[in-house]
Amino acid sequence: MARMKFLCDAERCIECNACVTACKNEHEVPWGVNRRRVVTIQDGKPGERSISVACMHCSDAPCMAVCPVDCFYQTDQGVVLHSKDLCIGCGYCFYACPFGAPQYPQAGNYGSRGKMDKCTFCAGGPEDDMSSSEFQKYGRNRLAEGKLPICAEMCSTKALLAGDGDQVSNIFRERIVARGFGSGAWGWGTAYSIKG
Amino acid sequence: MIAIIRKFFVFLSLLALSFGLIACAEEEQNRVLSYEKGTYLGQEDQKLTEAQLRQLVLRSKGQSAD
Repeated sequence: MARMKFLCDAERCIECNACVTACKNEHEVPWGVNRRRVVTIQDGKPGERSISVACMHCSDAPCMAVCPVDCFYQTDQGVVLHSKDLCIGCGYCFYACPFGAPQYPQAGNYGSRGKMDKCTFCAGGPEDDMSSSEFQKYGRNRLAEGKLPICAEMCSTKALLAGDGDQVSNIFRERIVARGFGSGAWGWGTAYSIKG
Repeated sequence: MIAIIRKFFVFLSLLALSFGLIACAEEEQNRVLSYEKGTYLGQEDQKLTEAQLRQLVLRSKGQSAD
């Protein structure tokens, strides 16, 4: 099995925010914390595109690199998780993350933000799988139930894909061939000097 | 009399010291106190079984249905 990956197809995302809502509901995420967000560019103008953003479970995760207490670890499937027992809420991971994934339950200065919270790829945390303590700290462990992240599974336009990286890239490749143009990926036109 | 009081204070000091040292016990604090740079020292996560992984791969394929 390859690494677990998210991929958001900007050609399909309709900015319905259902992924955001489903995530909050599934994991009972508290007020003020959003593990997933929908970002829109050129809002209301030609070329408008939206993508759903959360922790991208980087192969070489910058949050892991900067954490002073090494509270992060990667599972065998490449999911970046952390231990809330070790986290000191310093906020370094928030500054390091290019996606703004780490979230904190309180606003404040160093150490007063509370334990960091982020997308777990619906894989829970280090506690026993599907235990109440795991649910309380990290939310539901859908991977242990043999299910993929709720945000991708309930996406009505199937814009958000999640799962085995090989499978996800195969699905996306088929779409590009069927469309007959570009990857539809955000920044494609800028990267290859093509409009649109 | 002074010798007895002195002994009593020594005894009290030793008692306080031993209580203080007990309070430093790592397991009582229930957290990691010494870190190894770049090493995760938290609770170990459970690994997914082969059956769970197979199920996840099948579910990934299901996303292609248009």
